[in-house]
Amino acid sequence: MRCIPVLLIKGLNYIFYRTTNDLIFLGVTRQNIDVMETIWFLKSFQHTLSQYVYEGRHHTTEESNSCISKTIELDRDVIMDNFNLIYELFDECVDFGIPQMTNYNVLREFIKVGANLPQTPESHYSSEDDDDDNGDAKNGTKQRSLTKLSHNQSKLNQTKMTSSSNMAKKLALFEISASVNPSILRDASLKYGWRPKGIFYAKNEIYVDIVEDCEFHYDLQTQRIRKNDIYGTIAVKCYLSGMPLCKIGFNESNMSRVHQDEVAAMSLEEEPEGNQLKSSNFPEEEEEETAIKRSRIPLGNINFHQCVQLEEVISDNLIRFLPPDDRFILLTYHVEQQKQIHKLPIVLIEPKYIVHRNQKTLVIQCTLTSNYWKRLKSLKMLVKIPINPHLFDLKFEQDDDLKFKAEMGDVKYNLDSSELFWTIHGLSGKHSVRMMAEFSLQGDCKQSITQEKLISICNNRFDAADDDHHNLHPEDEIDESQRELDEFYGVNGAQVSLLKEIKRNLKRRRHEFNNISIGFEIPLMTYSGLKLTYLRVDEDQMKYTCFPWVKYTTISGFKTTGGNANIESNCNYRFKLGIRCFQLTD
Amino acid sequence: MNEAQFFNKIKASELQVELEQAFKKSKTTTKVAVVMKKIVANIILNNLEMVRLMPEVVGLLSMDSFEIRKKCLQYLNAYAMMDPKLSSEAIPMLRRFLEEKLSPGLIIITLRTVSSIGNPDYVKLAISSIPRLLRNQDPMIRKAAVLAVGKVYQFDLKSVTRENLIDQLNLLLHDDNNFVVATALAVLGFITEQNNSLALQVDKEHAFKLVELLPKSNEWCQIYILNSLMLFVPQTHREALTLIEATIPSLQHENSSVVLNSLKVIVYLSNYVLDITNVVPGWSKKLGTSLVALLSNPPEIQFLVLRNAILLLLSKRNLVSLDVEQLFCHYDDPVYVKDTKLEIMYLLANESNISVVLPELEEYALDIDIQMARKAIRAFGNLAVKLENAADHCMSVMASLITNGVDYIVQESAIVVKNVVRKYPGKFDYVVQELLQHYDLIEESDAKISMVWIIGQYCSIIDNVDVVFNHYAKSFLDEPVEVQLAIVTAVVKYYLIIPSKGEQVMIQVLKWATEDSGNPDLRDRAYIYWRLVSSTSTTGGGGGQSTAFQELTKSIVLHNNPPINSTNDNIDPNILQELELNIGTLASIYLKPVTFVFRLSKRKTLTSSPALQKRSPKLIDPGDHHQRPTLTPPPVPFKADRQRLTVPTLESKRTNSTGEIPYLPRTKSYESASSGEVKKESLTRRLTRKASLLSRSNSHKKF
Repeated sequence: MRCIPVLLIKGLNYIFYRTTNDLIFLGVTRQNIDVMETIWFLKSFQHTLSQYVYEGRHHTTEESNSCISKTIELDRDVIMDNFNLIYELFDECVDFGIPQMTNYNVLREFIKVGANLPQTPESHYSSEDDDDDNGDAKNGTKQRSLTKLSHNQSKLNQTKMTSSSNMAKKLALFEISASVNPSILRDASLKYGWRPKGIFYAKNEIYVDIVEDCEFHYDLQTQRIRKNDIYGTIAVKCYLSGMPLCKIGFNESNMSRVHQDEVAAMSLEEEPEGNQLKSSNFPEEEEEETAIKRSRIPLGNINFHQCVQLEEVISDNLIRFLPPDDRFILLTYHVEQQKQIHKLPIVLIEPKYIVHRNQKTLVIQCTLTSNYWKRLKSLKMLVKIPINPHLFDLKFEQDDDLKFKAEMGDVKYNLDSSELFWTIHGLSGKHSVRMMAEFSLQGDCKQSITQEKLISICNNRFDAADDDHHNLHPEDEIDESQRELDEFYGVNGAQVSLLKEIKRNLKRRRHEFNNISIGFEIPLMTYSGLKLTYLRVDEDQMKYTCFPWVKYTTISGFKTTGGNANIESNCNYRFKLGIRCFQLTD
Repeated sequence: MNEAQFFNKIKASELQVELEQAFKKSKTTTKVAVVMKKIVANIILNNLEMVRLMPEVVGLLSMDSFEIRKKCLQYLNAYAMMDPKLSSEAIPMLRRFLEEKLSPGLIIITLRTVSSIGNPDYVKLAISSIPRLLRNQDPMIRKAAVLAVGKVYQFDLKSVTRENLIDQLNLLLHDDNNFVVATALAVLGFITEQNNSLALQVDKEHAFKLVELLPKSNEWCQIYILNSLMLFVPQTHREALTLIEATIPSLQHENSSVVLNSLKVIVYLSNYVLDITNVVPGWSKKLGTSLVALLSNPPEIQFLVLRNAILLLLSKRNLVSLDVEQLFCHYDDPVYVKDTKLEIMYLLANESNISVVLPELEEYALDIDIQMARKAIRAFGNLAVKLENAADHCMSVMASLITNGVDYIVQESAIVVKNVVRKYPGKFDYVVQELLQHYDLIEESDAKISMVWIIGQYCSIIDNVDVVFNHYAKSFLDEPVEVQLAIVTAVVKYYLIIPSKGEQVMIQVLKWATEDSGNPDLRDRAYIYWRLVSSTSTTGGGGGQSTAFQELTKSIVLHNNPPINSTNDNIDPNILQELELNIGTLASIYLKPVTFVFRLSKRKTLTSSPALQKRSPKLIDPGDHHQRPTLTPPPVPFKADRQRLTVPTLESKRTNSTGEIPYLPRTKSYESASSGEVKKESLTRRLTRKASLLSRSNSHKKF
């Protein structure tokens, strides 16, 4: 369980930042300091450090297909191996408790100490020592970094052959050795702290990736959208020489948020009554486009990278920036569709669980409708349909206990999570596909599946008698252990059955079985309709031509593939089941 | 190379041998470097034996290798104070480093080390070289010298003042390098914070110059510059407005700290602008969105943002307009973020958005996470008390939740329903009925207290009241004292309302309380009640007298408790004002007066100027002055216990006497109280909603 990041114990304030793999960056103070500054510093420090470590790995494997948010997981071993580097970083990043600079692109110009990484998996293992606190967690991360390593090595051969582009060929104008007085360099670069001088590329390129991550929550019972948000990221990778000034414009009329109210008011007027999705006649594509143009995109919560000249964003509605070298995130934004609630969701699913109680079968019928442009295709779509083990006791004895038929894609039943996986490749827009699956049930369906039980399950209530694991009495526990023993020795007719074991475990977990979730990645489209309309790179001294590349992706639940931005989706596309999704027949 | 292997505790003597070996053979430098790495690793391992290597390490300083010297300095930094005599021998060498014209890098790290060691010799060396280095051409050296002043100041205040170092720092505020200026600001800020006789002030000209530096500086420098703007006291509205306009772009910065600090500056400056919401339209929206934008960060940062949002909502409601829907919990938020969001949702809820908030809360109440579900139910009750128009809706939802008979929901509901029926007596009897269906599910003492109170109060409308009472009375002796007290009171009420049924239970309970209980409070209370109800029989007087006595008893025991009202938002305006000036700091997270947590820190106040606006007058109930937390801290040092430090959860107990700031209405102190007692929670104040209404109407105006 995560604990509050600010603690006061005996007059000392502990401020900490915790990474995903439970590494803790801690700051301690007695004074009333700026906590936000501290935590942000800890976060940036962690980021910088992992960039160092990542770059180190990058060099050792010469892997050119790099990605922006790929932070190598720092773990105990990496940190111990690199204490030297960390000390150097401390020296530069912070002095007297005052953060100085944490920008990797600048720091790497004067901290030349490379990351110290294990070369082979073997040596990695040998570094394990007898420290045994939180052994479990550590083992997990170790395993992961191990696989990552071997992966990189296998890639080594591939990339050597294919690296024909000049993406990573960076020629330094003058070689800076560690002996050169670093402060001359610092002084020169201070005005733009994020970009060192003297960068030169033979071919000048800029890649802009617009990735939109969708958070969607739909209630199938009330048929209303509960949440439809977009978290957008614009990631830029640039290989530009000198001190270029980039200008980027969007089809959005005002990046600053002054006129947002109007937009909100406008779209509110257009909001149809009641169920906004039932209207089966989708608007024509052109119409939709003009609609987007007219009603602007209510971009909110825009956060710019520090290189963006903020005043000009407000005055000219153009994003002007002097980019840092290589990869960075130019801006992030957030669109709340609540303000444009009429907007259709990207995909919509209509499930139907039909229980034939006499035949003891459960039939699941599903219709999936995509709402994006006809000519677009989703790369991969994964629909996870839960089958609540508290309600349905599935039988897997004969081959025909699970049958399915789908117009497109494959269906699998995942025993571990009791979910039906429906994988569809290349679903085009404005298309609707159907799937049907049939399960055999065991036990007395008439008794175990009732309307009341359905209702209580839909309301997330695991209560009363049906829930055998919550009121485990001592006798039951004895039974339980007795059974385990029997199974182990194979006596008393008990059999070791993985299936039973899994089923039992499933039931024991307090797990949500009420959400259908969908993961997808759709290239060439932004759900918000945001488009880059203007891109220009100027370099006063060199006057080179630049090759711009722009890419749009909409994702949810998946990681983007390819491109310069490997952005992992943090969002969910969920459909909450309601009682009307179920149908009981005799 | 695998450097983790250095992390083994090594004996100092072994290292000494290794060093000797290194000097005997070739490749001395690399070998010494390895030894130094081992030493540093042992410093990290906290191996105190390393102190014994002092002479060797001091000797190594003379080696001409930047790497080794750096490590030696690290060593000195860690151990110089442990062996001041030996470490002083390094002084001549260090002095040479500081004077060397060759490598600025060496000067910087040497200065950094020398100034952070409290040994008098080191301090002397630092003080003698700082003035020269402050005027060095290299800005990085100037910066390091500026920081060194701050460090030395901690050790030797007198020498620093004698050498006029602070005045020299002041000169550097006009340096042509942003970095140096920002660092000087930060260090001066630190020094003035430590010293009561010094105050840093920024005049108009300088303030405007600093603002111009903002876009050109790196993120951290921006923070220091923004912080220094807090020291500028605008004399006219115009000045304040110009500065605000210059600060607004920073609200979109990537660095959350820059955003929060510029927010702080804007909030501060807005005190000096007349009718700010009219002058800058769409302004509250802007601040609101910039706050919400920060919520896309990791949970730690979200938490800080949300705590500050609470602060702003309490103090400057008209400046921030937040859309409650943006603050709905995500299912994967950590508990502390969810908690804080719930609090904000509660603060933001009003008649216009209640239709959105309630379904959301209902969803939480059905959450699979029991803790969350309980908190949502709490919020229901609190909202019902806060918003009269929403009470009906809240309670109907509550009733439907109770119907399912899930134990934790029922228990939590019991606590909440009690508050609501006190606020609206007689209005929600159906909920009480519903609750009583599940009287047997209640096990926690908090819930039991509430339940028993409700039963005592409503025994006339309960059908199977005798069964219920027997249920609770049965386990009387096993209950904690609070529950016992509640049962005693309830049982007496029961007797007074329905004497025929209640007599037996009452006598039984009172008997237990007086004879079997070891707790004097309980015994005394039981005795008092016993006297109150039984004096007719003991005096044996005339019938008329006894009925009169009965009536009196009834009027005492069955006296209606004063209705509670929304107890909310009652932080002293002065404290709020102080906290406002400390947005983003630790105090704003604890939501406590700064001097409470940090006894030595200075208090910040708004400096008066012709442009200073008076705070909007608040509605203050007369007679609650003694309730208000006072600004002067109590003589006892702030005692930190976990309970108070954790984010105030909805169920954490409220302690009014310490001057702690209550976060949400917690109406706990009255239960099991007999009538006539002065109710504490009625002494709290309501915050006027006028301000928020004002801001809402303004936010729709366009340019």
